[in-house]
Order: sequence, then structure tokens, then C-alpha cells
Amino acid sequence: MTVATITKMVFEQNGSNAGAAEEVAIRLPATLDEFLAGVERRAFRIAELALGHREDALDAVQDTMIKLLQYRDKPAAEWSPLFWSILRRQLTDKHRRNAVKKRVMQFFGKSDDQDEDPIEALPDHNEDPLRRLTDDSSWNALGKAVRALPARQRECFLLRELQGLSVLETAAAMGCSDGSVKTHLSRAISALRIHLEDWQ
Amino acid sequence: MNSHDEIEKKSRGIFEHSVATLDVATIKRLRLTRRDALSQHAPSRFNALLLPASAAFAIAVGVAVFLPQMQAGKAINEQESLYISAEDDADADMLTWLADAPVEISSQLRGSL
Repeated sequence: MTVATITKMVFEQNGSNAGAAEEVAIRLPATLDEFLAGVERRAFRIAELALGHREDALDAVQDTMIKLLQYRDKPAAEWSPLFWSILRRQLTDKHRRNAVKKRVMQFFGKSDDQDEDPIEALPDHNEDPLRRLTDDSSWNALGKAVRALPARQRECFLLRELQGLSVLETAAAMGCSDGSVKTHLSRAISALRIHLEDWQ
Repeated sequence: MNSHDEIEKKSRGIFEHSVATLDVATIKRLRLTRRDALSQHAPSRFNALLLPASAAFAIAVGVAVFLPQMQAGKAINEQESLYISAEDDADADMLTWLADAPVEISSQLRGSL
């Protein structure tokens, strides 16, 4: 595996050291396969949190991978911002479609929760059931709280806080300014504090 | 530590744990999804040959269409140049005849001189 290093100039935006540059070595994936293998699990979990549906999350990740392949000739340093930007759009589209679907289902008096495969939902026999229950309840609580956020706040929280993108990378993925990212994030965390009261 | 930090830390912890403990079935599905996506966009041998083959075909069609036209045009040009050279010869003959023709000065012209 080839390890390419690029020098990234990180400028400190606040404080007395404004303009000071720090060199950070970033390991870039040699192939798109390697890149996707590195991000697919995190992308799936983010999609699952945002959509609350396993199959929809897998679809979103698959569509994102297929769309990213159109940019395979771009430099490896651009794959990550492109990937998260495409995933964000996929999640927004799926959210809209699900909202319409839910309204239609409600109109016909049907529930939308019936298409989850019951075999997929069965617990793994090798893990501790009590631990699984605790993990699941925390995960479900987080998912419910995240899905209750307004779209922009949710995207911002998922990309910046959970995926760990920088403010600039999040702004690029969301197509907004870095100031907006900070505002959305602060509001998202304030809202989550209310939703997840029992965590404190 | 304020409550903002607690929420951030706990959310991140839960997220990282969920990524680390992702079930085997989902990991397999993701791997298959990736392979499928990559194979869909892999440049096939057919696609790799398609561009050069279509370029060669276009050149062949171009040659087949324009070569006879060019040859016909060339033939017309040659014919025209033959006519022109024939006309040139006629002019030359006339000039020679004029040069050799006996000069007769009319009586009026002689008077004026």
C-alpha cells in the first residue's frame, strides 16, 4: 500500500498565533476501494442515525459509493469531502422521500414500520444481552434525538461532531459558511441537551 | 465540565462504540455493496476498446466519403487547367501573328505623321 503524504496548512483562526501554520501529515488512501473500506462503517452508522432505518441506511451508503465513483479521477485528498457531501445529499433526499411515504401510508391507514426484516433484527447469540440492551437503548435514544433536530442542525451534528470533520470540511460538505456551521452545531447541541436530559 | 461537553462526549462515545461493534452481517453487506459499486464502474475491456474502434470507424467513413469527392475535384481542376492552357496557346498564336503581320499605315495616318 502506497502512503502518500500531503502537507496541510492549518491556520489558527483565533488567538495571538493568527496565521501560524502547522504541518500535518495526512495519510491518503492509495485506491478508492481502500478509501471506501475505511469510511463505509462510519457512513453506515451516520446514515442509520439520520434515517432510523437499516435498509435505507445501506441504500444511502451504496448510492453514495456509486456517485463517488464518478469522481474517481480526482485526487485522493478530495475523496473525503466529496463522499460526505454526497452522503449528506443522499440523507436529505431519503428524508424527504420517507416523509412523503409516511404521509401516504398514513392516508391509507398503514404503518411504515412493517418492512424491517425480523430475522435481521434478531440478537447475536455471542454477545452479552444486558450489554446489548444498554447499548441499544443509548443508541436508540441518540438516534431519536438526532432525528428530531432540524435538517441543517442534524447534518452539522453528524458531520462535525460524530464524523469528526473540521469546521471547514463540514462547511464545504454542507455548502455553507464556517460561521453557519458553528451556529448550527451550537443549536443542535442545545436541542440535544433537552432531548437527552437523562444523560446529564 | 459543562453539559454541552457531556452531550458531545457521550454522543461520540456511543457512536464510536456502535462503529466498533457493528454486526458481521452488516459488515458483509457493506463489503458486498462496495464491491458491487466498484465493479459497476470498472472500465470493461469492451469500453476500453470502444473509443479507439469508433475513432477508426469515423476515419474510415471520412476517407470513404471524401476521397472520391477529392479525386473528382482534382479531375475537374485538371480539365480546367487544360482549357486555360489551350486559351493561353491561342493568345500566344495571335500575338505571334500580330508581330509578324505587315504593318500598313493608312494614308490618313501617314498625313498626320
